[in-house]
Amino acid sequence: MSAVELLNIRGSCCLETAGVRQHLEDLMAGNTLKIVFDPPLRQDMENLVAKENCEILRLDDEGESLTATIRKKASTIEMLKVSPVADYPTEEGCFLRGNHYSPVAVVVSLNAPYGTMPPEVKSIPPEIDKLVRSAVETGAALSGTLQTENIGIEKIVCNVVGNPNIRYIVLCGVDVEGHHTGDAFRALVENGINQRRSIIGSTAVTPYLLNIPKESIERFRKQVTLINLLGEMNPEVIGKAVWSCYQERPTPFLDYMLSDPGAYPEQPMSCRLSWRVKQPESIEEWELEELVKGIEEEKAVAVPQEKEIAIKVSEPKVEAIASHLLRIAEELSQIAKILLGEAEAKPIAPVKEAPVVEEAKPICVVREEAPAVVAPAVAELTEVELYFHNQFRTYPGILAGLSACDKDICHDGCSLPVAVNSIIKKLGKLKKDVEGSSISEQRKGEFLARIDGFLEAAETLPTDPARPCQKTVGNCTIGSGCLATGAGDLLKQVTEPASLTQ
Amino acid sequence: MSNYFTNQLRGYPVVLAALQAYSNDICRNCIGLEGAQTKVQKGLKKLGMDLKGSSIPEEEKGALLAQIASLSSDAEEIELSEDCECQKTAGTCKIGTGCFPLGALDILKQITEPAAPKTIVGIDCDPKVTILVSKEKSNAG
Repeated sequence: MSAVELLNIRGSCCLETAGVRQHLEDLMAGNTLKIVFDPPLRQDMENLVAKENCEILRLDDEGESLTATIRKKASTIEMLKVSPVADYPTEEGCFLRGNHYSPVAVVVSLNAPYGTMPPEVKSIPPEIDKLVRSAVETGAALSGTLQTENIGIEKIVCNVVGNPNIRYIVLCGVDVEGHHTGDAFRALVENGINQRRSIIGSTAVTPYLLNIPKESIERFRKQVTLINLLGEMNPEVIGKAVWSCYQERPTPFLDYMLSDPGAYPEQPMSCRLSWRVKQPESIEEWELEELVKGIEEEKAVAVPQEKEIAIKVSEPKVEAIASHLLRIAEELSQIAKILLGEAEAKPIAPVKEAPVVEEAKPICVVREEAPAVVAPAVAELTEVELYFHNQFRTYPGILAGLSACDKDICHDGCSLPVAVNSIIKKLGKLKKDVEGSSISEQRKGEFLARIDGFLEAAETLPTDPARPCQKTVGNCTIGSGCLATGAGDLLKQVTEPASLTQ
Repeated sequence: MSNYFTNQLRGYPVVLAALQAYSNDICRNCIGLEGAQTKVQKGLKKLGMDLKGSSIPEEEKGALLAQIASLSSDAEEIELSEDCECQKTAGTCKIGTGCFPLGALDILKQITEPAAPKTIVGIDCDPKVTILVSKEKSNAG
């Protein structure tokens, strides 16, 4: 219930001197005030009430006096809301859509192995999914995950500048391990990008924004305020942040004072990724300058293309083009008739062509297509079979590497034979393990044949270690490392299943 | 300085041979091999750029550049599927967390001497840390 105040101004000659204006000004929205006044002041009272954004709810005439029950109207805040671009959200991604008039979007950092998501994290972890869903249910315009510090951020920029109603971005979740994507996002909003299109002050590995226009990045930074809750995983806290963002009046939230300021006062931007750089994560720093230069030049060249080009076509040319088009139309109509069975399917007699002097044909080298690699059905292998299968996968690379070493100074050294002998020993052990295993005879035969193949290849390589060390004789100056040993170390890549002897 | 380039170029044939061997395995369909191929190509490109800008005698430079061109061509010829995807994700590679193509790239780490000249940057083959760091820059912070 709102409080009702009573003011008796009977006997007063005017409302101003009686302090009515002040009372009406001080009246809180929704609260009511009763004023007892003399009938001659009725018109003045009605005027003042309207002027002070109030309304008379009830007017009681008691003969010698009037009693007006007055209420302050709820203030109406004019707030600009606009429609996003037609193709909003312009970029696909892992996000949910809410009310697009909402002033807030939520970005949840997706801390999962980068790029190569193993099956167990193929779908979004449930706690992150919950966060994304609760944010959109609380009223966010967009709520989704962010994993990469380049393409991922670019997609967010595109979708946000396409909707000027979005004025806040709540960044939450645990930052992406090793890549610091969340930190890159913060740095983008705070600092922007440099000449090499790298996010200034970011600790991320490859924070390069090469697929979107610089204008969209600048616009993005002007349009949004970042609510940095990086590390926060509590849906209630995120929900409170979202709620605070769409309040009409300034609402405190942590260190922020939040309210909906309305749409950004500029047209929405329809922006998409150019995909000029599909794998920014593989870009080296030294390549950036050249790459950015290329992008700028491409842009500069692209601008004149937008100009309308007028080609003057003479009347005879127009007639010739028209007659050709007519012929094409007739031919298409004939094809349609054949298809519908309305015309006979007779081949047209070939037009006799003037003999063409055969020119020397260029030699065309057709690259033979490599046979497709069919993955063995690993799911059907037993644990023991999988162990052997994985071991076998290593050896072609090792043997090829050792073979390459054999063509170098390693051929005359002692390290290559040592590495080769080690491989031969390992293959011998593997052979024994296969023979002693409980796998089917058929499989055993297949596996032993493979081992024999590897052994045959290994035995073509140097095996006599009684050769001078190439480092000692001064031929090998690569440091303490050894290329042959490095090739042999490829075996270490296989860690599953555990060794049979363990 | 030519020793630096010569040593670097001793590593690439070994890496390329291993990568070519793995391209006959399911790695052909894998982003791991695709990434390793890109890394080798870039590494060779950078080596060529540094070599061109070096003070090595022209004759020697020419021979090394020819070697780089030949290795780049070998890298280009590594067979890959059109649509590569991580074979661990696809469920066909079950070797654990390791990766043959990335392991092959690591062979380059065997070469530690001589250190890259000050104007030249080195390659870090760790797939998670792909930034090249120049010595001058790292000193400057």
